[in-house]
Amino acid sequence: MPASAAPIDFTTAFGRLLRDGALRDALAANPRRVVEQLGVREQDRPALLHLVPADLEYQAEILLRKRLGVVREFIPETLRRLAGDAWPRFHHYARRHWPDAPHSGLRDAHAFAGFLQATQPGAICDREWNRLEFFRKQQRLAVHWVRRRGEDRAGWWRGELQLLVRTGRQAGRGAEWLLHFQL
Amino acid sequence: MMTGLGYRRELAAWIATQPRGVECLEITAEHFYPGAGAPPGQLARLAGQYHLFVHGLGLSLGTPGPLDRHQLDQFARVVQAANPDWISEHVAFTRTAEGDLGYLNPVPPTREMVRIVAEHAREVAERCGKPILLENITSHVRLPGELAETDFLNELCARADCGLLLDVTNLFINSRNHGFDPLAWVRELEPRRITQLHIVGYSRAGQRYTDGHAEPIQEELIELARAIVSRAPVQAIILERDEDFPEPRELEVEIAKLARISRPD
Ligand SMILES: [Fe+2]
Repeated sequence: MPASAAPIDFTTAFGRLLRDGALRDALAANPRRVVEQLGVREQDRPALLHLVPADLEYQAEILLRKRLGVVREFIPETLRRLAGDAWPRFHHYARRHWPDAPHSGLRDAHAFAGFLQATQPGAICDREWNRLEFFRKQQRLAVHWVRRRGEDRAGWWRGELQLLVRTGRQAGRGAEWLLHFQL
Repeated sequence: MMTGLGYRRELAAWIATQPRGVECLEITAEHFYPGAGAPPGQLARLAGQYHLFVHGLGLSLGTPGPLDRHQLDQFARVVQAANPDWISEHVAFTRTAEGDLGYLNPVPPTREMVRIVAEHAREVAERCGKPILLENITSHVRLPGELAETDFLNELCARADCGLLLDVTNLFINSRNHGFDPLAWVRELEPRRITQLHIVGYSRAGQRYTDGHAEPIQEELIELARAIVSRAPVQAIILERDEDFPEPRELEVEIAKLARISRPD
């Protein structure tokens, strides 16, 4: 956490705190040290030192819940499988990781799915993972054979042909088509 | 006082029937940006049926430095298509020079921030050729500054020469979470600035009150709105429901509650 050359203003410092859970932990443990290390302008220091850690954490959590709402648009089935675990798992990942724009929702969903891949692979819906990879790699066409557990009978599997076609030049939402052929 | 609601895709079919009591609609500008999926011609159709207001979420008036040109251009295009009575944005920041935060965050009540938000608000109003209102947000942190929050809002509206969009629910939530009297807070505001109200039921998570925009309006909020309307020239009240949309019948009950705020029985 090196001090920047030029002092930063309240908004910049507050923004860094809202994006970075580890920085919030450090502020809660030693506020003066963190404010000093951030290189905050003298006139803005009292406001940062005044922050109540639990309130700051809650304000940050509001942003994480908004992120989860955006991520849900990319991986609804994965989150449905996680059920009550979805928020704790996302919170664990998102508190340490902030996606960079552009297409930050797509990047976030992909990074979260990568996190799940490493920690809880059974939770990821294959079709959604294929779609995220397709978007991320900006492919024009991709075909996948996906095995899916049948919902009508226990122990029943069905195959599915997933065909992804990109029609526009823009990556991310709104420019791609997704076609499923169920066999 | 007109009564209406925030236009949401999920409510489009019901809104198209021009339900009783819905006199105006508030359009969220970002929902009509390119790529957001709004059908072409939708704004023109709505403008033919209702008084419209255009509400922004992402202009980030509280970020020091210039406004995001691309965002402002997109916002101005929506305003042009909707031809609203007025436009509005939040007293908040959603991005910093280092990146996007994705949602509204509070600004400290300082004279420097009055200048930053007011200059940005004036720029947006001038660019769009429409009057602008500024809205109070829910904040889970209380930021100290040179000014009391109400003095900050009064100075801000004076400097930006604009009105206030008073979100009754946000005020109520902040008053509960931070332990102050919402009516005393309202009495400190310049009444003539209060032009529009937002209202929706609050949510609760443990000890905290939150703005989930997913609950029916509670009676305490109706009482607070009534007290505000009795002392300010409010021109419109908007139901700001974003989640867990109820059946049309229930929405009509909610709208009827709003109508009763200005016409108590
Ligand atoms: Fe609001």
